[in-house]
Amino acid sequence: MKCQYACHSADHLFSRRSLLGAAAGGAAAVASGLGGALAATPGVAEQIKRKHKRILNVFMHGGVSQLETWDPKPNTDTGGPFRAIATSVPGIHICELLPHTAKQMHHLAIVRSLNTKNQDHGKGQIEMVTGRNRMLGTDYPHLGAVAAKTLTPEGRFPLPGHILIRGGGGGTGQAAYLGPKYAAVVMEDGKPPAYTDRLASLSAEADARRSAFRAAASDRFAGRRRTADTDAYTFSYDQAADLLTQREVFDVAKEPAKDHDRYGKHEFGQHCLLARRLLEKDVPFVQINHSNYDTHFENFDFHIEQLGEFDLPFATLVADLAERGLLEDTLICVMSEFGRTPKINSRYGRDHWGTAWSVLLGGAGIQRGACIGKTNDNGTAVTEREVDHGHVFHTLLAGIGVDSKGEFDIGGRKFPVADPAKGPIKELLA
Amino acid sequence: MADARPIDATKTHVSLEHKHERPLVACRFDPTGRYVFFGAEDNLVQRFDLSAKTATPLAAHDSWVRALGCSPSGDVLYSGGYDGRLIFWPAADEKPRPARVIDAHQGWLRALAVSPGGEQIATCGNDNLVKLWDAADGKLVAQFAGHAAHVYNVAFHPAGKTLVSCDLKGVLKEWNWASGKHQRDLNAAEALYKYDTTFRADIGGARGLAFRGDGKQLAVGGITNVTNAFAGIGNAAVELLDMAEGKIVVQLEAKEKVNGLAWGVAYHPDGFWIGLTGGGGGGWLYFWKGEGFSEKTAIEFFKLKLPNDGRDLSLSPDKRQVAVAHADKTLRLYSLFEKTA
Amino acid sequence: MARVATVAAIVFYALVTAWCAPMVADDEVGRATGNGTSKAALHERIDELIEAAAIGPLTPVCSDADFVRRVFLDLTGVIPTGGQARAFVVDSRGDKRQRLIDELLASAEFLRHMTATLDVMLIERRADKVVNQADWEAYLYQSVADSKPLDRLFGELIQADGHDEKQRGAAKFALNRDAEPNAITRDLGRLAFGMDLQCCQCHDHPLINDYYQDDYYGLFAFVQRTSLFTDTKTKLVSLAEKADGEASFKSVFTGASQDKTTPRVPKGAVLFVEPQFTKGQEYAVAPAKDVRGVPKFSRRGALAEMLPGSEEFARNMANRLWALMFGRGIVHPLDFHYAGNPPANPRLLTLLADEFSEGGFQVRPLLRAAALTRAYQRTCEAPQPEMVNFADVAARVEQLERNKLVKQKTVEPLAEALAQAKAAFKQVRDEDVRIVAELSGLEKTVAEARQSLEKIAADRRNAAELVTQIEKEATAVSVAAGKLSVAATALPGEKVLIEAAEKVAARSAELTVSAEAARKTSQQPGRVEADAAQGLANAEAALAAVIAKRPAVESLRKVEQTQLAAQHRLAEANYGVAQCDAQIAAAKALGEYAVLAKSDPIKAAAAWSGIVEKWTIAGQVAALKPLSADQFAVSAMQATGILRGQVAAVDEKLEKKPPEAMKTAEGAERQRVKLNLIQMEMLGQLRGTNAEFVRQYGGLLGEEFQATVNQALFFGNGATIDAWLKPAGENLVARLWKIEDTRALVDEMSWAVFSRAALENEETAVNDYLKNRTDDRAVAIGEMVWALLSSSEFRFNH
Repeated sequence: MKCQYACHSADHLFSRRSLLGAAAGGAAAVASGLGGALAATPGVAEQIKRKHKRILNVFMHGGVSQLETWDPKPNTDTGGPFRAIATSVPGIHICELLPHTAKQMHHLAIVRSLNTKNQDHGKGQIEMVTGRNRMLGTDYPHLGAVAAKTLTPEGRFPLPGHILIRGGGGGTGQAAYLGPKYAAVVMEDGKPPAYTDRLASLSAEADARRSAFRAAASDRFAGRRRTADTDAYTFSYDQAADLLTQREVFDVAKEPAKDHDRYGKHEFGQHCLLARRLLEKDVPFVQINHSNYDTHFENFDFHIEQLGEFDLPFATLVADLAERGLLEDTLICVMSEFGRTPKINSRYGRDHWGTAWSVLLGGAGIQRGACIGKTNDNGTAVTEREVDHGHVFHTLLAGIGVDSKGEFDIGGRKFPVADPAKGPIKELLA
Repeated sequence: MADARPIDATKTHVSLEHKHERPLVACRFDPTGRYVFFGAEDNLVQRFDLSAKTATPLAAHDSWVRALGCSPSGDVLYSGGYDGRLIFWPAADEKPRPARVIDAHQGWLRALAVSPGGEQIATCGNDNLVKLWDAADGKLVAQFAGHAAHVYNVAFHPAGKTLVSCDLKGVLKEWNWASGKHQRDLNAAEALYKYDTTFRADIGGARGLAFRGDGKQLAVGGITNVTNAFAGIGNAAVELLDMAEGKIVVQLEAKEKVNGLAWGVAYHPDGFWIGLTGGGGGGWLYFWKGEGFSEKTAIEFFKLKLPNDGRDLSLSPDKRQVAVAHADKTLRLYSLFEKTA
Repeated sequence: MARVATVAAIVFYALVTAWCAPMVADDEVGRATGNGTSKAALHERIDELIEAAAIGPLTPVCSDADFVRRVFLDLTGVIPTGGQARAFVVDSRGDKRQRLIDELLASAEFLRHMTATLDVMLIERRADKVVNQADWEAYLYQSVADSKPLDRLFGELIQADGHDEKQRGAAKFALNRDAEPNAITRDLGRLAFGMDLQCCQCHDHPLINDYYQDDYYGLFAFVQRTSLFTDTKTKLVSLAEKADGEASFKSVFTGASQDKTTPRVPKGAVLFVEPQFTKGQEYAVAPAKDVRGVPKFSRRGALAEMLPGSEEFARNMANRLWALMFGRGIVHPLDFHYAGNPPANPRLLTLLADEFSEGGFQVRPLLRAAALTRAYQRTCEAPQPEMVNFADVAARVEQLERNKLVKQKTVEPLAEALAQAKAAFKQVRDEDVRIVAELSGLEKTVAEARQSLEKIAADRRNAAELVTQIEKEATAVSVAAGKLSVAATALPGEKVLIEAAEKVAARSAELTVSAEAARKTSQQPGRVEADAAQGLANAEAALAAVIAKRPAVESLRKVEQTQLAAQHRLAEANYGVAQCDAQIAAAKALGEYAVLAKSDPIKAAAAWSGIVEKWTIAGQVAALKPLSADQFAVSAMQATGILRGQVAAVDEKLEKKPPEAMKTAEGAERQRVKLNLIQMEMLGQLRGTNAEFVRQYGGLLGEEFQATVNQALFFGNGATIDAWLKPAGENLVARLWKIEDTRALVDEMSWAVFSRAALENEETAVNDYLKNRTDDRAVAIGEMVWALLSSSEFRFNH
C-alpha cells in the first residue's frame, strides 16, 4: 500500500526561475519586459514575506558536555564539580560556567531530550547539520545551504547566502543537490572569502571598463536568444561588482573599538562580532565553529577554558541582536555533534554520548524561555519528549517560516526539504 | 607501639583499603596520624579514623574538595573546594561542624598550604590569585596577584618566610609572606605546559608541589610531552628546582615513560622522592633518589603498579606510609617497608 | 521490434502536420507525413517523429559557425580553435557537416571527452579511492576506443571484483562506493535503469506512485551478498561475494514487510532459478578468515547477463545519450522514468531504445544520428510571434482534443490485456513458488528414508560379523575340549584335569548354542529392510513427480515476457495520451498569448518565453546549453591559446621519450597512437585545472544551471584566468598584440573566442576600446578577451 504522508507541493518554495526573474527585474539592465514579467510570479511575492530572516548556528566541535552547559545535574554521581545557576527565566537553571548566557535565557530556549543514537564525530557533524541519518555515498544539503536557498533576499543581494566562519573544526557546508550557489563561503579564521580582492594589476576603472565591454557583448547575444539562465549569468557579474563595493562587510576591524573590547580580542569573540556584522547586512545564514570540546581527559578544566571563551561573546551577541531588533528575524542555534557521557572516567574525562543531550535555540520563531524535554536525575536517559537531529532541523526551518514538510524542485527533481519521517517540535515554535 | 621494621621503599605494599561511594580526588594525613582526611567526587570531606577504620562525613562544601590541610597540632582541618570556599573544621569533634567558612576565591580553589608554624593558610585558584589567611581569625592577611593563568598549587618553604605558587602555564612565583610581596620568579616549569593547537586549549599546571625537607629543592608534578591534550596523551613528570638558583636541575620521570599526570609528589627524609601518577598509563608510585645523593641527578630505583589511577598523595607523619586517593572509589594506604608474613 | 503506428496515430500526425505545413519547408512536409516505420536513415526517422509532433514553428538550420562550435563542444568537450572554425565555415562541400561529425567521432578528443563524461556519470566526482583515477580512466578510454557496447561496459562494472588486475579499473564503480549494497543499488537504479529508487529503501516512494520498496529490494538482492575484502598480505581491496543471504525489508511508514525478495531487474525480469548446490558445495573459493569468498553462482554476474534483455536499460541509456547532445533527456530528469513523468516524445524514445539495443548498444551510431538530425542542427534563435498563424488555434485545439479521445480509447483494452497477462504470470509464478516450497519438504522425506534404510543394512552387517566371530571361538574351544577329554581319559587320576575337561566341554556347548542364535539373527529374512527400501523408492518417486509438475523456466520466461510486453504497450499508450495533453497545452498557450499580446505586453512576453521553452523541449528550437564546468574551463583554455601550448608540450615529451606503443607503430598508426597518448595525458592535466571550475560551477551531469556571485568573483579576480590573459608565447593575447590592423585583430579574436567572424559593431567597439591604449595595448587586449570570455555568448552552447 502506498504511504501518503505529508509531502506538500513545493509552490511556496519559490522556484529558481522566479528568483532569477526577480533578479533580472531588479537589474533592469536589459530592455524587454521579460525580467519584470518573471518578477511578478507568485514565488517572489511569497519570498518577500520572509525577507531578511536569518539563522545563526554556533557549532561546538568535538561534542560539548550537556552537563557542563544546558542540563546540569549538580551533586549527583555524574554531575561533576560545577553548580547550577539561575537564569533570566524563572525555573531554568544552567551550568555556572555560563553566567552571561544565563542572563540572556529569556531570548533563548533549551531542548534537553536529544537522542541521536550516535557516538561518531563525522556522523554526528553531518547528521546535525543536515537533519538526516547519514547514508554512505549520499550527500544532503547543509542547513546553511537550505537557509540560503530559501532566505536569500531577492533583487540585487550580492552577499553570499551561506557563510561559514571557521575557527578550528571541520565542515565544508556542502550544498549537495541544491548546487554550488548555496555551498558555504568559508571565512577561514575570519578572513575574507576567496576572490573578494581585486587583482593588484586591475584598477577599479579597468574593471568597470572591461565589464561594460562584457555587458555589451552579452546584450548583443541576448538579441539572439535570451533566457532566465542568460539573465542570471549576466546578472551574477553585476552582483559581483556590487559585492566588491561592499566587501568591508567581511572586515570585522571596521567595527567600533568598544565592541572589540566587549566581545574580546580572542578568536571566538572576534568571530561573534563578525557574525553580528554579517547578520546586520542580512546574510541569511552564518555559522561559527568553536573548537574544541572533545574532552576525554580533564573534561572540567577544558570546559572552564572553552566555555569561558564562549560565554561572554555569545551572550553579548544575543543581547546585541535583541537590542538592535534583529533577533525577531534571526534564529539562533548552538549545536554540537553529540554530548558527553554522564559517567566521569578515571582521567576526569567524559566520552562520546548521543543518548541524552541538549541543544540551545532562540530568536526568530522560537518560544523564548522554553525548555523542552527532560533527562533522568543523573542524565543517563531521556525521560520526556525524545527528539533527534531530524526534529531539530525541521524546527529550525519552521522557525524561519519554511515549510519543512515541503519539497525542493531542482530542475524537475523533487527533494524533501527535511527528513520526511520527522517533523518540527511544535511546542518549541512561537 | 612503634613498628621496628626499617623503611625500604622497594618493599612498598598495600596495607589498608577503604571503600567510598564516589571516586576520590584528595587525601591528607593529620599530623597526629590518627586520621586520613579525603575529598571525593561529591561535596563531602571524610575523616577516616585509622584505628576504628570508620569514616565521618564533613558536609559544608558545595562542590568537590581537592585542597586539604591541618594545623600543626591537628586540632584544625582546613578544606578548600571547587566552590571557592575555605572552611575551618574542629578536626577531632565527634561530628565536626564548620568553625569558619570563607568565600576565598572566584571560581575553583585548587590548593591550600599551611605555614610551618601553622600561623597562616595559603590558598590559590582560578581567579589567578594566591591568598594568605590568618589561621587564628580567618582574616585575609595578604593577596598575591601576578599570575596570568589559573593558579594550580601553592606550598610554603619549610624554613624560610616564603611560599611558592605555580599556575597552568608552569609559571613559578615565590612570595614573601612576611612582607606580603612578590619575591622572585623561579624558572617556569615550561616542560609541564602546552597549548594544543589542534584542540585550541591549554594543558598543564602543577598537580603536585612539594619542598624537600631542607627546603633546598622544590618538586613540581604534572604532564609533559603532550601530543593530544584531550586524550591525555603525554607523560607524567616531576620538575626538580634548585631553590638557591631558582633553576630546574633535573626532571624526574619514569624509566619506561608512562601516560598521565604526576598527581602527587613528596620527599622522604631517607633521601628519596615519591611520585604518584594517574591517567592513561594507570596508577603508579615511583621512587627516585639522587646518584650518591647528588642533587643534580635522580634515578628511578623502584616503581609500584597500583590497583587503579592515583589522584592525590600524602606522606604519613611517621614517614612510614603514604595515603593515595584513588579513582576507583578507594582510599589506600601503602607501607614503605617489608610486609610481614 | 519497432512498433507499428496505430491508424489513429497516422491520421493524427497528418492533421498536425497539415497545420504545421506553413511553417515547415516543403521538402520536410513529405517526410513528416511518413510514420516511424520507414527504414530511412535513423536521423531521418528521428526528425519525422519530432516534426510530426510539432505544434508551431520549427526554426531553420543554424549557421555553420554555430554548428561547428556546437558539435565540437558536444563531441569533444571543447570549442574549436579559431583555425578549425574558420576552415569549416569556408569549406564549400555540401556534406561538410556529416564529414565533421564523423571526423570528430573518430578523434582522440572524442575518446577523452567520452571518458571524462562517463567518469562523471558513473563516479559523480566522488573522492578518488581504492582504484586510482588513472587506472579507471584508462579502462574507460580503452572501452570507448574499442567501441565496447554499453551493456557490456555496465556488465563489467557490475561483475568486476577487482581481484584480477585486468578488472581493476572496472571495479571502481563498486569499490569507490565501499561496496555498500545500498549505495550500489541506488546508483545502478539511477544510472543503469533511469529510476532513482532511493526513497524506497525505507518505504514506497512518497512522491512517485510506481516506485515500490520491492523494486528497490529486487535490485538490492543482486548486490547484497557482495562486500569489501582486504587481503591481509597484499592489502589489495577487492570484492567478496557470499552464496547465501536474502533481501528482506519493512516499511518505516506502513510497517508492511517482505522477508525474501527474489532478485528482479527494476520493472523487468525476475531471476527465476538459481543453481542449487548441496551444502558446502556452493563456493569456488569458500570464504574464511583472510580468504575471499567466490561463489560458484554470482548474483552480480546474473544481473550483468540480464542487462541486454532489459528494455528499461535500453530506454535509459538511449535517453542519457540523447541528453548529451540536446542538453535534456526525452525523459527528464534522467533519473525518473515513470508513468507520471512521460517522455516528451514517446515514440522517439522507443525508436532510439530499439535502435540502440538492436544496434548492439553502440554509442557512436546513436550520437551520430542525433548530430545529423535537423532537430540538433536548428538555430537557437527564438521564433518570433510573426512566424505563427494564430487564426485557427481554436480549431486546432479541438482537433487535438478529438485525437486525444481516439488515443484514450486504445488505453483501456491494453490495460485489460495487461491485467490478464499479469494474472497469467502470477498464476504460474505462484505455482512455481508453491512447488519449490513443497520440494524442500519432499527432499527431506527422501533423505530420512535413505537414512533408515542404511541403518537397517548396517545392523545386519554387524550381526553377520558377530556370527563369524563366535564360530571361530566355538571351533577353537571344541578342539581344545576334544584334546582335553582325550588327556582326561588317559589320566583318570588327574582330578584337576578332569574338572578342566568338563568345564571346557560345557563352555564349548554354550558357544555352539549362541553361535546358532547369532546365525539365526543374521540370516533373518530382510523384511524390515525391504520395507525401508520400498519407503525410499516411494519418497523418490513422489519427489520426481512434483519436480515433473514444475513449469519449465522457458515457459515461465515466456509468460513473463508477455506480461512485460503488455506493460510497455500500455505505458506507451498512456504516454501517447500525455503527449496529446502537452500538444494541447502548447496550442492553448499560443491562444492565450494571442489574447495577452493585445492586453498586457509584459505578461505576453513572459508567456512567449514559456512557449519558446515548450518548443525547445519538443526539439523545434535548439536549446541554449550552459557549458559544463569542464567544457567552460577547457574552452577558455582553447580560446586563450593555453590548451594548444599544453598539448604541444605533451607531444614534445612523447617525441623525446616515445613509449613502446609509439616505437613499435609506424606512419599513420604511430600518429594515432600518439594522439591517444596525448589525450590520455590531457585527462590528468585538465582534471587539475578544472578542479576549481568544478568547485565554482558544479560538476554533475544534469545539474541545474546556477550563476553565482562567487563564479563571477572567481572569473574576475582569480589568478588562473588572469594568467591566461597575459601575453606569452603563442597565446591569444600575444598573437593579437602583434596585429596592427583592428579589423584583422577583431576577426582573429572573434574566431578564437566565439568561433565566428566579427560583426560590424564589434569592430567599432574594439576600436573605441583601444583608443589611447597604445602604451598598455596588451593589457587592453587582455581586458577585451576577458570580457568576451565572460559574456553569455561564450558561457552557453548555442
